Amino acid sequence: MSDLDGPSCRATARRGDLATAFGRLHRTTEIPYGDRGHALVTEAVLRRCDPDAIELRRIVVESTVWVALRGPSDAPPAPLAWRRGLLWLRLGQSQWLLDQAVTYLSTRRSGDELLVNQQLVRADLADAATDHAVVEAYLDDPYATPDLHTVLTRTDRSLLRLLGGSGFLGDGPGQAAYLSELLADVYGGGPR
Amino acid sequence: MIKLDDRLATLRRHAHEWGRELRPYAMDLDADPAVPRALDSMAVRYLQRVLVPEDPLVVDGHRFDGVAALERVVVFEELCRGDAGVTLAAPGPSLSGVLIARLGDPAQREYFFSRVRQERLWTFFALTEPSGGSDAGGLSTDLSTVDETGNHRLNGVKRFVGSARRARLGTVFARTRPGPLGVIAVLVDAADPGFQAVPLPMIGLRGLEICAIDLTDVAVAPQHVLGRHLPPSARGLWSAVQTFNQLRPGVAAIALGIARAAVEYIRAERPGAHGTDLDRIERLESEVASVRQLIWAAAVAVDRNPRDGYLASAAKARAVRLAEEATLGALALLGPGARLDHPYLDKLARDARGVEFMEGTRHIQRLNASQGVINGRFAGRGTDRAGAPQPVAAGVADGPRRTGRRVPADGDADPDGTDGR
Ligand SMILES: Cc1cc2nc3c(=O)[nH]c(=O)nc-3n(C[C@H](O)[C@H](O)[C@H](O)COP(=O)(O)OP(=O)(O)OC[C@H]3O[C@@H](n4cnc5c(N)ncnc54)[C@H](O)[C@@H]3O)c2cc1C
Repeated sequence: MSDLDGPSCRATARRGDLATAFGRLHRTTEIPYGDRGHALVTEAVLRRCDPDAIELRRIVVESTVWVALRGPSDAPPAPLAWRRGLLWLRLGQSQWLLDQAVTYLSTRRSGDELLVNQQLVRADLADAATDHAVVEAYLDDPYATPDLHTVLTRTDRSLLRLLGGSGFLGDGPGQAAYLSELLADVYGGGPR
Repeated sequence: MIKLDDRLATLRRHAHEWGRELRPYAMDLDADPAVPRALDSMAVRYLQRVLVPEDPLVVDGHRFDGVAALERVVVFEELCRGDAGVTLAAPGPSLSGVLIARLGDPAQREYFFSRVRQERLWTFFALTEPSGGSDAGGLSTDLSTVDETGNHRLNGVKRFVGSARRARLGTVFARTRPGPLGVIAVLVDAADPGFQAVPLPMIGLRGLEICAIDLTDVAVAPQHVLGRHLPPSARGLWSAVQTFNQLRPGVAAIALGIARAAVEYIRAERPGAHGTDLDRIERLESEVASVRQLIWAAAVAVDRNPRDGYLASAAKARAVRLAEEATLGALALLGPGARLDHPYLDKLARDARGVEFMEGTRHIQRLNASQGVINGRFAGRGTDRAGAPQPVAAGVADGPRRTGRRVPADGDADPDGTDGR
């Protein structure tokens, strides 16, 4: 994946630092566009690139501002290697979410039993880790399918359920997962 | 298959129009949940009267008071198909209304419902605490202290309580002593000293404005203890379980409304869809239809017997799964950038996630449903040994009313105590 270091991008995202992970993914002064000319970048990347694009939305995650854009009609789609880097980022983010869920469930109880020891919960944790392993295995393949984004979104949704109502708050882990879904929406899939 | 009688079919037609009126307010409310919208709409007029039997809404000569779960699910699907956020932001008796109708003595019912009737009044229902919502039995909000005037003193913290900031009246679950019989519900006036509700930022369903509530020495008069005329075994947590049984089909209908909104949206956006895309749309449409039947059956079951909430658990679990699948599926069918180009669909996908937690998560519902399978009551007590429900006549909504019905305290109690929230 040329100059993009996927594993280190993943490691940063796994620490919950999506903005730095994205900065690592994006070192050029070109805005990465999706197949339909949308982009979703941090404000820092936006300032560096100063593109000819229309701002659609702003989303705040932790204290980082992310900006959704629509680029010019001839905006070139982001290269394959960059998109694979994004999958590494989303994988790291999803693994961070798993860590959050384990921590959360390890401190809460149902009756006398910790939530993390409930069998339904354990099954979800196992499924999430398995999905992560599947995605990671595919990431060695230069032609990784866009469907991996769907796998990660499904996994994140299951982890968000494990986080209870706290995962539905705009200032909690659910907001980072929402941003990850938006990144998949902009850069995943194929042209139609 | 359940067919609605004329009365409910009429209501459904009207509710469809009421729901349509809500849609234009949806995005504004999502952006700024602090400002209530659509307050003069027919939807809100209905929701304000739900469970107020003295003041029914009359539509085409039929009277509607929302007492029957089947009536509520028919309306909620249509309103939430219009918009779930706007629907949930409406004033009215809401969850507390069902609890008070079930547990309140005549004076408490009069106090609560007369205020709801006269004012544009929001209400709240505070059960969940920061330490865990699924395990309602573990709640620790304290009501054990009685002051020199004979009032109870309420102390504790609640989380994720819908509409609590704008509400003026509501119900709070608290504990007078350890153990399941020590949990009771009380009526609380939000204007009382020591009550503070702060809205929490939400990812979706923002109109609901879930809040953190702080309760510091809030005075609760003895006449505001719900179910005080009942034996301890018939109030408290067990009553909450039965209340949830009655509410659950309605929550499922909220999810169904969201799913349907997404499916209709994609139908309208992709009129020429064919091949696998068309297959996916049609599959979602048929799932919407089948989950609707499941929800109706669940509503019929709890209308017959409020203890029969197992099917309602199954329906709620299925409906929230469908809401997530339908909203994500619709976005996928629109291709890259759909969440930016179709903000309403993006909102539906955010809203869909929230219904998961309302009135108990999918895990809890599935555990509850499995309990019904094991004890042979999954599809209600009117089931044969193979579990097949007996045929349902149309017009079931006209059956006996549940309002104020005394909860039997003895042999009818949930034998295993495993009904989840
Ligand atoms: C939009 C919204 C509206 C709400 N409205 C209200 C309201 O008006 N009033 C109110 O009181 N509360 C309300 N709630 C709170 C809601 O009831 C709780 O979020 C819900 O009960 C889950 O509790 P929790 O968030 O503490 O999650 P937890 O109980 O911490 O659960 C975390 C995870 O563990 C799982 N789990 C828990 N116990 C078990 C078990 N025994 N076996 C297997 N898995 C288990 C859960 O399924 C979940 O996935 C609302 C929440 C939301 C998001």
